[in-house]
Amino acid sequence: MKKYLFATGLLFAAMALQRAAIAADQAAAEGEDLPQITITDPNRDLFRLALPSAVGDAELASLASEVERRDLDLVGLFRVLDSASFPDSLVKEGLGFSAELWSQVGAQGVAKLRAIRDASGIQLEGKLYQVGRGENAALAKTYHGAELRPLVHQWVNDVIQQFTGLRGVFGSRIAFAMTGKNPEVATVGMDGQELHVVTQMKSQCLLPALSPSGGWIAFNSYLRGGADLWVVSTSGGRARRISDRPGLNTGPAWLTGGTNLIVTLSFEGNAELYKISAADGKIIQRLTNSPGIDSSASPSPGGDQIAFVSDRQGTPQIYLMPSSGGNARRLTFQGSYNQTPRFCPRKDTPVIAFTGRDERNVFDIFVYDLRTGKIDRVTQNQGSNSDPSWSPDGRLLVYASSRGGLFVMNLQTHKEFHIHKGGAKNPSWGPPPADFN
Amino acid sequence: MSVAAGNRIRPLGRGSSFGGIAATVLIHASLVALIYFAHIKSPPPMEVPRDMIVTQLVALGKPRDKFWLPRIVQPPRPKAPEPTLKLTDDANAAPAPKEAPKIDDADISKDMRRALKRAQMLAQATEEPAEGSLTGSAEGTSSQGTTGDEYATAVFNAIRRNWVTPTGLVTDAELTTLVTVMRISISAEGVMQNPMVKQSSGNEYFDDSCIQAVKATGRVPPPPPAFKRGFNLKFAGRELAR
Repeated sequence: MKKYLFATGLLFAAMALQRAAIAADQAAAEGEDLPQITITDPNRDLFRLALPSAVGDAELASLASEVERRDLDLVGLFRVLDSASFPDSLVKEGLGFSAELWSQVGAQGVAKLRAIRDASGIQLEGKLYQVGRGENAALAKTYHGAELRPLVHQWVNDVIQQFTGLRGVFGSRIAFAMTGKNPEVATVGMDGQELHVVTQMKSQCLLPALSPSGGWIAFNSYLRGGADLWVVSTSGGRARRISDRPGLNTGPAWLTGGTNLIVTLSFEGNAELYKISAADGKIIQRLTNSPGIDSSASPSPGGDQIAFVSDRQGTPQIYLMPSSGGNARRLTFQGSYNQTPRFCPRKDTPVIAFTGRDERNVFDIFVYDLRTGKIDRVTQNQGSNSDPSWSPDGRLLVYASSRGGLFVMNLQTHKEFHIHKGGAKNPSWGPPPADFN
Repeated sequence: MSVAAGNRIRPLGRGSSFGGIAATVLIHASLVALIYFAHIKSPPPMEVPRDMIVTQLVALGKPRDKFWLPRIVQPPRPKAPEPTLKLTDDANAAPAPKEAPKIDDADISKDMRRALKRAQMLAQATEEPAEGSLTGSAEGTSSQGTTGDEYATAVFNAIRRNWVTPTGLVTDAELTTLVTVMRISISAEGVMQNPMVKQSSGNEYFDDSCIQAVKATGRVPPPPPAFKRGFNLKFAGRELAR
């Protein structure tokens, strides 16, 4: 018995010691016993993306390259490398990929296109490579369609999704009020291309607002002498007047669903906010009742709150109230003139962009964080900037600038792009393209 | 205790001391081994995800009127504060002389003359440079270091110079929490080889930037004995505390 116990104990101990020795070896192999050097606070720069010229049909390839470069530069996430710096061996590579050669030009990613005509119209083939991750494409897609530009936008949206997890919104459009000799309402692609003049009012048009579907634009026009509210189809045609009450009928903001609007009406003696039907302008509910001027409403993405401007306490400031109206809470206490609040369309990003005037009498864009109450400045020393409107993915802001036209900025990287150089104000960014979800 | 022969009960261990001791030692050794083995295989502590809100350092300068909206400030270059000389707390004290006394002044005391001479000699000495190492780091916090410390500093400087994270793909908020650990082999000449990610940050672009930093650096000084087997590199997005 003793011998049995002794042998068993010996065997048990030997097994345990052997496991411990194996574990120690593993630990040594995994480097747990090696010295460690900590490196912190890296340099920051945009991801370097190479866009070699597209191949295929010469005319299509040239346009495809141009659209792709503009889109990927505009989104503000990448530093697009100058293709003039690419050696010939890379220019002639076609859709293939040599990681070593591309790393030598400093590229971290490479996007390639091939555009040709086929029986059904145009075929666009795209491949995205990431240097340092092998020779296989991280993304490879083929698109078919009648026009090339929308296909390239789809490709760029896919590339953005590949990198960030959130799809891009190229293909969406921005409505704005033209200034100068032809003050009509127009829309333009978010890349600044394909400008369409929508209205033919031949009078000043202001404050256009694209509907949630993108099919309608509500706007103000002085065609009949007063500040009346009109609605027109985005594709153009005859505009329909839905509110011509005495005084103001301004600042339309669409509610989710696209059947109702929040507007400022002053027919009862003071400028207040009302919910009205977009079909016939019928008042559904009065939302505010204050001695000041209440205007410039912006509903939250969840539809439960409304941000607006009021001077009820002396100067125009941003307020927040429930969507059913009632108690309003003042948000801004800095600055003497804050206006045009716009809720970020993402429910997980509770921030409001607005226009504020600083002590130098210059208007600039700011964002207010509802979680912390903190205000961050977006533009400075870049002329006078106003009327921010969010992209549907919450990544970009478009605004009008005294530098002329419309600018788009990526809020994360602060990269700015001048998308439209003609006279413009009151931009309103429409819904995402159909392939967003 | 003893009983009659034939029914004798032998107490445990009696007459078999070696076996008992050996069994006891073996059992204890196996318990120690099991505890060690279980410890190194224990799961990592559970990480509780937090909603990060990025804060900013307030710039040094004249307080801005709280009424006005904020301005974007570029942080100025670091500058040593001007030395201040406090003469007296007495509000009724005689006003300070407009000019400092000179060594040649006839009406100053012997002590004052001696003090002025000493001050003159100190002023003529060159400003004492910051102490450290000629190959040290601007982030360094020690004026002296072991061979290992100096080597680690050289490696830190070389790799950090080449470490770039993409702003659009790694946000400022994410950067505060990301950590990647890599294991590096190194040749006798200092060529870094076989970079391997031991612990991923969970963000592929952050991990990639660490790998690219090592590859772009390529070579560091030849390693001292403690580093000859290689070393671990811990890349942390933000240094939150020193």
